[in-house]
Amino acid sequence: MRLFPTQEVGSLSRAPFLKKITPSVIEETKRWGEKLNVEELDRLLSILKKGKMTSEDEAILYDYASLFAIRFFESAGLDVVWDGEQKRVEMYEHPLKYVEGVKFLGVVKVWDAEFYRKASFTDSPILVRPYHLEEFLFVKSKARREVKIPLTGAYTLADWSFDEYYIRKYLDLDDPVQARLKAKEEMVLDIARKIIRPNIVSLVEAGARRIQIDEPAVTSKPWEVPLMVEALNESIKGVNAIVTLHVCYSDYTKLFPYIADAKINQVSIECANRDSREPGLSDEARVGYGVVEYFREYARWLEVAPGVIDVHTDFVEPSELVRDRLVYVAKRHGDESKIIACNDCGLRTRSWDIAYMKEKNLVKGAMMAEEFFK
Amino acid sequence: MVEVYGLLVGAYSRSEYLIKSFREFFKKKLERDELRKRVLEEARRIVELQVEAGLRYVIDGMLEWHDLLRPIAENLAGVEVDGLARWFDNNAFYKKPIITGRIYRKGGILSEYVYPGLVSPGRWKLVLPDPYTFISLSENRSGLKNDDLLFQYAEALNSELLELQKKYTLGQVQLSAPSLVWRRLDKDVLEVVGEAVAEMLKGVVAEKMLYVYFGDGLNALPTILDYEVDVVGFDLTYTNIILLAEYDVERIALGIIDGRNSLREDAEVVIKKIDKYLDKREPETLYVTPSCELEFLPVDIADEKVKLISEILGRIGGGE
Repeated sequence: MRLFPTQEVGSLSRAPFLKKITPSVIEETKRWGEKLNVEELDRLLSILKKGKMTSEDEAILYDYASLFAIRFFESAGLDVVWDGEQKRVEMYEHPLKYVEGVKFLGVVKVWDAEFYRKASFTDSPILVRPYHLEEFLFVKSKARREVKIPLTGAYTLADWSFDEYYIRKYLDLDDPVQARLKAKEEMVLDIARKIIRPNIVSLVEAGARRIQIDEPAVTSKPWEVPLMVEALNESIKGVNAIVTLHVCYSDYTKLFPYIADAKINQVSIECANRDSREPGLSDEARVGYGVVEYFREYARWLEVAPGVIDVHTDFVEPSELVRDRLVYVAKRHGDESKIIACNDCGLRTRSWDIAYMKEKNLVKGAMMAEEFFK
Repeated sequence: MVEVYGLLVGAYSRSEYLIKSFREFFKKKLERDELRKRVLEEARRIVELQVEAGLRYVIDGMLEWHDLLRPIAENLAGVEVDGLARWFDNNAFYKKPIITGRIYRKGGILSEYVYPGLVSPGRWKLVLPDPYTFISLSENRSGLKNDDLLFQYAEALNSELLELQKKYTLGQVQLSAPSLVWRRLDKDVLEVVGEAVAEMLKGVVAEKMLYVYFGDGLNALPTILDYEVDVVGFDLTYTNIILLAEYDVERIALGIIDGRNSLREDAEVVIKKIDKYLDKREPETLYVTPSCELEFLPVDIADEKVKLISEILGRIGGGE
């Protein structure tokens, strides 16, 4: 069996041509198209060159963006790929647009000038239609490697939303914390059963074999980690697929011991961002990876996908650093067959040039780590 | 006879237009003067809304406070501002202050962030983080003891408050103190914080209020009742009102309107809860407030919450 298989985590910045078309954009598109060996590149270039675009042309552009991103990861050598979420705007608003019983109320600040459009659950939710199916079918039809589709988990959709429905029956309780917890539990599990699971089932029926559930909100309320785990299990009940839970920029120790009850295969976490850039296998050099101890102690059977590529810096990790990070994690975990090589998170904030170099070194570093264990 | 009033307890929600204005400003596509003009337009509206709602003291919106700590962290000597950290259990973040040396006031701290001129003299309410919240949410790289930093912070902010007091007639100064209840602290820690609070508010003639939120108020009771403040306020989305009524608080603020959920509470249900409290206690003054800053709500919903407070005050015969 191959050690340290490589996989991406989700997003990639927009394809070069998903912006105002100028001669330099067309040139950039040509450069990437040729580099990645994208099929029917001439057709894309002729659309870009013709100037005014129809809505049909725009749809074709998004298909090409998806194709470019798939080829991007494949060309870099990753084992498991996705289309860099080229057709998605973000991870919260998009799914809830396909749910009845939800109303968008307006924007709220997250920090400084960053904001999101926040929705309220005003009724029991009904899924209008699976919202990732077309996207998946397109990727599946084009990808030459295994595909993993990411989707936002029930807990995060609930936590980032208002609740005007579930809380109503608990408003009379004197204990406000109990009232909120009971309402939250109903809300999260309802979303898991009525929104997330039908989506996953439709994807698996269409051929998806790898599902990634993103739960960035989970450790913001550590006392609700067991609820997230319960929702995760509800979301994937009866599903025959390899399931990854992705959490990032969080205190992962809060996942334990509860995560041991999750019926998943992998946990993907951001670590490189908190690690040093020094090579080596010492605890001081590999300060970002201590959490692997928790996996060894509480959930040794789970595959761990620690980020070995920091997605928030243009620093391109040398392949030797990638190797050292993976070797360190594998040794500390005690079972190198359980370690996956991947990025901290999606590469949305990096340019394609930087991202490509990072991915190439991810693959090379993983091969070097495999060599180490041979 | 209990006197009942309404209040807000922290920064107001920014409109989408204003958030985007800040974004343009950060990208250098909007001049500082134009941003300030837009901020003041919104601040004026927020002030008018509170006055119409009959709130006793009025905040100026705090629209340029990117987070509760930022104006202070950016203007105190011995403090720098670093990366993002989560703001308690919210999907919101603050920039973490890094304490690099002795904290002191090197000049005016808040002059660029407050607009007391928008509010009638005597009704302006100023909100500041209490010493423990500021220091505990910072990273201490100074080598100094946290206890010493508490008092350095208190002294610096006291100087700022006395300076503001010379220029403006403050109605109320609120110390926002989520860190006092987020986790249960030892009694001796709370007592030291009480001394720092006294230092921070020394010589302030406005009404002094301590507001604890994002945690169970019982975590800090009864110790905080000995603090040298006039009013103590509690977040009732975390604190059981019946258990709270076990304590005698002469002037109390009840954070009974959920500042983090869009559901507009039924005024009758809220009044019943207040009555439950009043069945057990008869404070001299009772403030009806949101549970926290309203900045977690879209601005239209925040407006509705203010109107709800007004409605409640109207029904129970309170307000200005």
